[in-house]
Amino acid sequence: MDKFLFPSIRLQAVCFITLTALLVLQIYVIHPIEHLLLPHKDLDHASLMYLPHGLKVLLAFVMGISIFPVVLVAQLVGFYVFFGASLNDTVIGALYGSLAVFLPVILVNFMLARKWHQPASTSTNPMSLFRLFIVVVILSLFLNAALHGDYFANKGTISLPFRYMFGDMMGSLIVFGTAMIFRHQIARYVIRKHS
Amino acid sequence: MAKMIALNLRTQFVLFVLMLGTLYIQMLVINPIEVDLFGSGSKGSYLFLPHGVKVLIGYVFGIIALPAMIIARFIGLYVTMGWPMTEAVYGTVAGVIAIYLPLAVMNFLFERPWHKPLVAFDQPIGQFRIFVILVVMTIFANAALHSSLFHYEASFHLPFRYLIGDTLGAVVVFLIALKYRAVIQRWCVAACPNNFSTSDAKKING
Repeated sequence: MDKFLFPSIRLQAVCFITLTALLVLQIYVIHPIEHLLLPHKDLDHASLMYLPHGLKVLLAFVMGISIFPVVLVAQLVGFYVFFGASLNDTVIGALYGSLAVFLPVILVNFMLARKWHQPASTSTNPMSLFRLFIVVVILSLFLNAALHGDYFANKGTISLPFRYMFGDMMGSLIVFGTAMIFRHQIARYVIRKHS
Repeated sequence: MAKMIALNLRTQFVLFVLMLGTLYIQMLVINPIEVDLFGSGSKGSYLFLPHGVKVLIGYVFGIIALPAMIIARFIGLYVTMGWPMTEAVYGTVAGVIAIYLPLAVMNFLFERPWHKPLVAFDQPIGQFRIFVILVVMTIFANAALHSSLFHYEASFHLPFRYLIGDTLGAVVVFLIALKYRAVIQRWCVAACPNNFSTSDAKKING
């Protein structure tokens, strides 16, 4: 798969809805629970279990750069409409959140001497895909924490970057674990729908 | 499990001097130029050579260079740069984690012992590409950990200063290392022979 191809509209719509639904779940379910159980000054900026990050990493890993517009738009909608963030915070947050997951995939492709836009999951390298995914997750954790940690530094406390790292890691673990359980169904669906 | 053999004192001392020396070059030469060019407003340099040296040492020697790195970094921050004790300790720990965590992750990726250096000749992937990924990973980790340290002085462009500074620093150090790679390789083989296979050592020594 050398050519840059966008996935079908239907698959893009499914990804958009799933990511937006997870953002809604994060905002309306996990955030209030966390607010009750572990109240913290940074909670409005960084959750200790941020599921959407896990899904973003998984999408970038499985589908490559072709899913970038969907991830970006889903975050714009999620932050602006559901979270009620200011336009500035929405745009910066969505851009940083997308860069943090797609840049690692581009880097991994560079390391494996593959085309920059390809999904890392289609690597034919003998290296384990699980290990490759962990590397992408760790790269994205650091990058996300660095970018968001500084952008919201004036509104948060010193622990903000660590909360980002921890929350994204927990989110990635949960999403990856769930994806592992349903991996056969997901793989079949993606193969069927990915042009 | 591969055995971890400590570096001798002389090599540790050479690495310590190298790291501290680069920090002095940074403070006495590069930082004043940057202040003249960009003003003295913010933390983070646009050309931070010590990071490149640290990455290269981590890449070539692995975990066995840890004592030299910790001591050089602490002295550099506390004595040379005059940071308060708490910040110096945090900066030391963060700086070391930012090198060795990515190294451990890369070793995990290649299914090798976590403490091994990445310099090896039997990888299916090019050494340059491995080095670039290691550099990028350390840069991200460094920016994330230091953004917490400079929380109160944080600005919109601080992480970008870190990212750009560490990247350019690593590129400059890498180019210098590339120019003198034969000398460096011979020295590395002499200092730490267990990092290299016998055939590689023979190849390096000619």
